[in-house]
Amino acid sequence: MANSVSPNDFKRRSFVAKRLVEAGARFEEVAGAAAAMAFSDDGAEEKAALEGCGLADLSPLPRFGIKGRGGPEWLAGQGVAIPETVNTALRQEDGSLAARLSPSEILVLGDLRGGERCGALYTSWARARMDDPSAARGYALRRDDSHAWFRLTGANAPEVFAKLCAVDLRPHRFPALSVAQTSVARSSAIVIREDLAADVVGYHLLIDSASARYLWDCLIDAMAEFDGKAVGLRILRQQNAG
Amino acid sequence: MKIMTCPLNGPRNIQEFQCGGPVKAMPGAQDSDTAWADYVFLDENPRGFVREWWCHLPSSYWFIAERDTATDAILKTYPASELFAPEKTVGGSQ
Amino acid sequence: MNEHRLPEPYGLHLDRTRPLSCTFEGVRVQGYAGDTLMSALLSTGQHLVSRSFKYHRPRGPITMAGLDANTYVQNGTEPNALADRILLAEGLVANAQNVSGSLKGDRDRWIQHVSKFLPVGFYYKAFYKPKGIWGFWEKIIRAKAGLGKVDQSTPHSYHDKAYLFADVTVIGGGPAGLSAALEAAEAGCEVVLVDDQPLLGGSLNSGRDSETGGGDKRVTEGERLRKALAEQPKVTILTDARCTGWFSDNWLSIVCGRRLYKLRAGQVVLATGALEQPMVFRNNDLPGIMTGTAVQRCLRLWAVKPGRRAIVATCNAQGYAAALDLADAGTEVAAIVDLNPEPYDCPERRAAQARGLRILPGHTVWEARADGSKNRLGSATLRGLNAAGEADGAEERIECDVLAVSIGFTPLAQLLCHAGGRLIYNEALAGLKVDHVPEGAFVAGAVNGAYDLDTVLAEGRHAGWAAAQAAGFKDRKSPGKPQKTAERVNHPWPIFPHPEGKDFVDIDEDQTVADIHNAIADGFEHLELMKRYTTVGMGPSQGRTSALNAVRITARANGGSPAGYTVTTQRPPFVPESFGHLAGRAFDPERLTAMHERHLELGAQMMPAGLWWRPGYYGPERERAEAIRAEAEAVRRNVGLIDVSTLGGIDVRGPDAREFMQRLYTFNYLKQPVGKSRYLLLCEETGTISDDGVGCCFADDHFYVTATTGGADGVYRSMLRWNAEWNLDVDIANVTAAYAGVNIAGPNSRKVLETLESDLDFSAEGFPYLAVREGTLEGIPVRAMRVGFVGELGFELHCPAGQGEALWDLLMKAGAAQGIRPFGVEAQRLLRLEKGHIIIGQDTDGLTTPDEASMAWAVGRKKPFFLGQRAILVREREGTDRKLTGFTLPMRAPLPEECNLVIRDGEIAGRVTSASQAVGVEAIIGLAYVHPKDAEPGTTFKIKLSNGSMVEATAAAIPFYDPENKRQEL
Repeated sequence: MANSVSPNDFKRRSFVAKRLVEAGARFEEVAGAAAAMAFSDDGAEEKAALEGCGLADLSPLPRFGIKGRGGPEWLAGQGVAIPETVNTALRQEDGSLAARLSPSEILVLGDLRGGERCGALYTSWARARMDDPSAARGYALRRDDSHAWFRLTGANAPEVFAKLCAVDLRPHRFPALSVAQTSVARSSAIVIREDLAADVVGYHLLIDSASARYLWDCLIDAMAEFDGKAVGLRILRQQNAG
Repeated sequence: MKIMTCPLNGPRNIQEFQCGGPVKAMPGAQDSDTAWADYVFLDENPRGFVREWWCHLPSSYWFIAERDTATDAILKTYPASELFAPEKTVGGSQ
Repeated sequence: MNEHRLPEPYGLHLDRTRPLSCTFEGVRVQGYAGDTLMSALLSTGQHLVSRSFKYHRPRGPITMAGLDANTYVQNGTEPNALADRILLAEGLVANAQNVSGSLKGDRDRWIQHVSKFLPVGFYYKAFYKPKGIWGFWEKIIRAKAGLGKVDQSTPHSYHDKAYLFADVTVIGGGPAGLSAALEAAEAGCEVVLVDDQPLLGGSLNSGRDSETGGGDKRVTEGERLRKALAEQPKVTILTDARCTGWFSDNWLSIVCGRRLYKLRAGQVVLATGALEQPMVFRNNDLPGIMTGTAVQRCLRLWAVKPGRRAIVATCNAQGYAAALDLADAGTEVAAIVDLNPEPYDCPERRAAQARGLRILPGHTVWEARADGSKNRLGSATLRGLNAAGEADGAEERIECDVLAVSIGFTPLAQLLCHAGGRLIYNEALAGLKVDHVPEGAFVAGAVNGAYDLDTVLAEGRHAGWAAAQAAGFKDRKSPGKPQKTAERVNHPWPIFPHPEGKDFVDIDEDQTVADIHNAIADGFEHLELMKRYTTVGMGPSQGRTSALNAVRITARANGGSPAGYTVTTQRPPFVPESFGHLAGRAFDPERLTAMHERHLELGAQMMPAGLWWRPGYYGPERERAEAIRAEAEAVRRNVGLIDVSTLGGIDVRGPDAREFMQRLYTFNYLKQPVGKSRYLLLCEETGTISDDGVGCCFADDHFYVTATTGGADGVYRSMLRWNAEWNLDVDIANVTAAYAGVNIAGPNSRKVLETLESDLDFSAEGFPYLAVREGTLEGIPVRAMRVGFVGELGFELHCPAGQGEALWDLLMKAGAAQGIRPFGVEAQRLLRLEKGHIIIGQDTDGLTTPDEASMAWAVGRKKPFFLGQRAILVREREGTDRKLTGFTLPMRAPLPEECNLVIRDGEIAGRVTSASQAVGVEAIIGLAYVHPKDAEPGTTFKIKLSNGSMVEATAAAIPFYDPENKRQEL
């Protein structure tokens, strides 16, 4: 598989692009940036890693945040299903995910294809604000840039977290679509459990983008004892579809 | 390590929190320099009941905690809105 | 098979199909897999394993449980490893510690013969006069006394940490712990069971059953419990693991292999058992003298016969059991010395009698003597006891090479004490008893004073059930509380002081009965004071084998009973933790800007700024000064580019945004025009400057606020904190990481920007000084602001962090024709100093007011309120004794350093906060706190340099460079 693109071909670049290149990632364009699609020609190794312990960088995929008075209501008006309880998430029909971080704050994670939804939310929020600055619709947040987005999957993922995070994230204690705002390897982080498939536990991990490389290195180090590996978007998409 | 229950995030290790000091009423512009000096520089630091500001750092969420400094027990935690009703006033600006 | 090794079924831990060999003190030692280094040595007949801390006396194992300090050895590069814990491995190389020459013929063993000249407190009394002499003695003493040596060439090893969670944690895997864990698991709890031995079972593995005579019932019960636990899916078992501390809310530290676990337990069952205590008599520390339970461990766990001829000193069933076990194993039991005037009645005593073993009631061991090697017990002198329990009766000397002591136990409740539990001396039990159990904790078994096996098992079950109940698993019926609990196994006074001493109370620290008496005579009669003065209980075993006797001796010397005495404060760790465990895999977060790789490619020397890394300057270290100068000159004469991504960025949005800014910062923001920026000064409520930045008004309801690199998180939190009280209609978002930023500065900066495709007009008219705009640059969205921090024409451009590297690349490429030069923090500091801009935290300290920093201009006088307002006014009124002023020195004068003192009339008047050789003007320039009278430009004041010499500086008006600020407004 030849590399068709490289991170430097785009203005938007992942916060861990250097690490992905070092790990031998093959990139493809997704949503105007180079996403690490795979780390080997043969998907078998990655599939094994994914089920045991896999770490993927989803930072190039779009996401959207809104916070402040009227924010969740405005977002609901845009057709996003809003979780009622704070620190839970809801799957959306298009494959995106909405997580409620506080009564007035929602984080939307786009789907694995890099769909238009989050970009569209940003545009329509900005347009609405231009048209009527005084209405209460919360304030859009640049989640694409404030946070890096990792996906940690596989049977050993809870044990990897147990080396980095004091919150009990094991599946029987942290149900699917739970959200924890906590500290991972002493960095503030948002952890959302969304399983990749019925039998593959998975977590989204959102961390301060400036700390992305630090945390990537911590995760790779913590995964080593489980033969954890970096995995690409391709295998995630396959698993998600299957 | 102690556990503190954040009203937003639930029970967490105390490491995830920072104390913001006692809840104090700010004097008004009409109050004396002495009253202001007391407010700014002197804390009671009592043995027993205290009401304090605490912040859950990963979510930057401020709330109120009531503690007993003699037993180191955390008695109660609740949102700041229970003490500070939404209104646009502040001591010094009245 | 050698004469010290017993055949199977002895040796539960051993795998006799796997012989192994190791080296101790250069001698090859054979053993089996499952042996510890100590059991392997014992299997060669050798008890001697160390020399004592102070007197270099020969020492052997006492507990065989890794709980005494006699077995400390150097294990390869690891100092202070316990020989009765080190599992034998092929090729293992260990050595004795604190030895000069050889273990067997330690050249420093003479020290014990001068011990009477080394009384307690000797060091304090002898070596402090004349003043300074301690430094001389310390080197000698430290070389003679001590434990292991740190090998500084030890390779780094990987240690890490992990969190564990449990509804119920059981500490101790003996009969009580196993049954507690099983009961809790059956109630549905998630259980973590922690045991310090390689095989679960505790005394089930090593004890003698009082009914069957062998260990059969115990062994069967151990197997049953192990099997039942293994079938429980929610039980995690950590063997060879040590719980070292019990902290708030049941937070436990557990060392296991190279990992430190931090376990959060809902409930904790402590089933750590009890430790058999030494008896105090002359030479009670000779190798060969060990506890009765240690003897049993030797036999059953490792199939080692501890000696050929034994004496057992006892007052309870345990001693008789040990005697029977010795006899069964083929050791001749020469005598059982029973401290009770009437021999203790129990099935074991009756069995001993039936076997014809010689029992001496009302006797004690008065003195032990070494054999010909001087390194091993050779004989013991026995004496009859009088009615007062004093050893003044007839003497008999008996040859023996092992002496088993079973005169009582102390609960291993140290961990419970960490958690707030208490141990108190109980006269009825003649020992320490758990007196208070904190909430969330349960105790069971010997630690709770229960020794009878059925009682221990029942206590374990009940504690496991009760813990499960407390953890919310309430469905299970109670297994019933055992009727019988604590039983008396202790002798109240197993202490036989000898006129010639060497009757050790604390074997770790070589402290005798006389030492405690002397301490009390010196006035240290309180237990805590006695401990510190004598160091009894301060050695590596932390009083585990000394506290009980020390309490008794202290109480009696004070003329009272030990009843009600508690032990000295117990603190973590219960057993030593290695530095590797504490230091291993520490997390040190670091933050990198989007342009980080570019800086490295350009040869930047990175420097930390809070958690961030920033380029200090570009170029090799040896060219530091030249690089900084060249970078600064590039900004002054041409164009430079600096990464300012680390500056804090906070969006304040909402109808009350202006009011919020007005309350928070010192200046006026109500009328700040949209599209303009304004300086921000933030003060604490004390009136002290805490941060500064720029407030960009992008809309009536939107301020984009910058904060200092180190201050951003604090400012953000402070904003949220105040608005939680004020409830203004604003939203506050920390966008520091969301935006990357650069400052393109220098007379040619506009020229560079104008070559790029943009919807922004960068001309002087279109983009005047202090204007702010939102637009795009070659498609990259930017927040652009004209700022003057370095005092030249310049634009700060903030873009989404994901595009920061692209923005940098774009500007470096566009500026190439102009000769654009990246500049670092060092050049920026110099340039801002030339403009007299202060850096918060460098030019201000924890007391600086706006007035002192000559920033009164930034304080809105007519505002009704802002943070720190009243304090600023009061402090201004009260006056100040210092002012921050600019100063100059001639170009060739020595360069003052930050924090060099300003001296006025021989007194300290202030200090230098910044100083540098300027680029824009021909002088050394700086900022300093001086007496207010010396702040007037032209006044001279003295600076004391680091080498002590004085230099005269002249107060100067700031800015030093371009005082009319024309260049930044081009």
